[in-house]
Amino acid sequence: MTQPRPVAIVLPSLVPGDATGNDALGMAEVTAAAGHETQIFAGRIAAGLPADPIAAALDWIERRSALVVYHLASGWAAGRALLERTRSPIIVRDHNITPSRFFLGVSEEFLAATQAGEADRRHLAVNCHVRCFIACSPFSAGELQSLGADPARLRIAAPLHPLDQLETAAPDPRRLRLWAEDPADALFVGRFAPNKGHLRLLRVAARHRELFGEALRLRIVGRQDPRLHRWQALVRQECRRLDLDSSVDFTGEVDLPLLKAAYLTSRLFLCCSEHEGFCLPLIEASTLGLAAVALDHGAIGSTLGPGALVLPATADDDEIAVALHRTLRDARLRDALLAAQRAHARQHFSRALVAEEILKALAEAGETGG
Amino acid sequence: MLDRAGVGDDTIDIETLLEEIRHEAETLRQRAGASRVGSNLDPAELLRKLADAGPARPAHSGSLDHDQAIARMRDNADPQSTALGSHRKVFASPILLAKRILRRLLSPFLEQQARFNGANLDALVDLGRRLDVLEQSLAHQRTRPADGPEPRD
Repeated sequence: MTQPRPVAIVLPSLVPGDATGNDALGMAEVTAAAGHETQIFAGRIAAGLPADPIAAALDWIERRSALVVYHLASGWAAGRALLERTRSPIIVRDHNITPSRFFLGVSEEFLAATQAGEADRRHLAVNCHVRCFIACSPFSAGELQSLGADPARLRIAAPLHPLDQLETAAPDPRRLRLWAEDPADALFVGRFAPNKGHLRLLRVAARHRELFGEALRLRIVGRQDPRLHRWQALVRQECRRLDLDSSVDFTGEVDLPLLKAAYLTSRLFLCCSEHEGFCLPLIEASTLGLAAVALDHGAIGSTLGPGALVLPATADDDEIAVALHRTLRDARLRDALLAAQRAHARQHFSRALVAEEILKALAEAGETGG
Repeated sequence: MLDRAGVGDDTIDIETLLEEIRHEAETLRQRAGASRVGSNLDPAELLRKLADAGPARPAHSGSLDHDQAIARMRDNADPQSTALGSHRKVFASPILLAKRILRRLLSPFLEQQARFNGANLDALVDLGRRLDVLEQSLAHQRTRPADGPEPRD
């Protein structure tokens, strides 16, 4: 029996709580459990995480003729240089890139970073040394195909995410008590960025008040990067203009116990994001018992599944407000939506399924030459 | 109202549900009249609003707005410094006298409130300074070359 080929997992940044980092760590567990000698290499490594610096990657890969799994999450010069120099088979794990247009006029730094990411993605899509692409969703696979990637080399596997940590985490007791006294009608979890639909969330809350005479209590969780200050100021300005200050709670970035408390004290998950490569919070919401109301942008529809309440991308703010109102009022509808979301997640995103897809991709890439 | 969407038997006809939602939204909007909320901002309007939203640099707690707000609060921190007056022409003098007597009677409580307000403001200024340090350290960490913006979702 032949020894499985070694695997080098390469990514720009390995830090705790980051979706790309979690996926890379999960992938390393999967490949190691399948008998592959596995090593993670990253540009930036947070203390205590099991990885080596990117500078050591080429030597390790060439000595072992290892498979290279490259996590494409941003434009990265050191990563590009490695891919140009290696003779080993390359597998691209695509995490999608937020379109740069969202950052126009918001942040020069983010605009440049997303443009660099888009350029790397365009080049990799037609790079003949890439044996296989593992896209995080059918939406991402479609984008890669439209950039020129060969459909025969495209595979789809959801990001690996330590859901069990969230499931077993104890919620922050103080916050749980406070929030339970004033539960949110709708929760959104996602970093504070222009593609995430925060302005839409506020408009929907205001429309809800116009149509139903009561303000929608929103809890908005997510990291507020100081470099996107202008965007955050605009959102706060809109919140004041719409007279929603008392019904919208911006929590900022939260740790796992606070995140758990936020999910447990909210009645619905509302997602008005305009671009998602997968949207892990939708899976977290399903796992922790929240039905979702969402707009069909990017991968959102395929992540929630056909039985979920995914409104067309063209739906107006009134329709979203009505969808929320109906779902909040009707416990049977909420239960049915949640059951559909959970069944879809079980059927498509279980760790075993994702692991199987990843190992198939590695086996195929290892067999086809190199 | 939800029966047509088939929720009763634990399966949902999403298309029917969406159709019902569209219909209900139209009906409710007709009843409520035109919305004053506004709709999706076009890119030009968004850019104008962003420019109005201030400079690209974070407005941390040491910003002009924050300092001005603290100064305004400090101006009003001592309830005893409130100027007494009366808008009445005929009874102005007795009313003013009554107010002065009341203020003197309440002075122990007002002094305590003034001390409390002052301590609160000092704590707020201190928190602002600490927040400045944290934000600067965070900005420094996040602008290191290996930790650029996150271009993915």
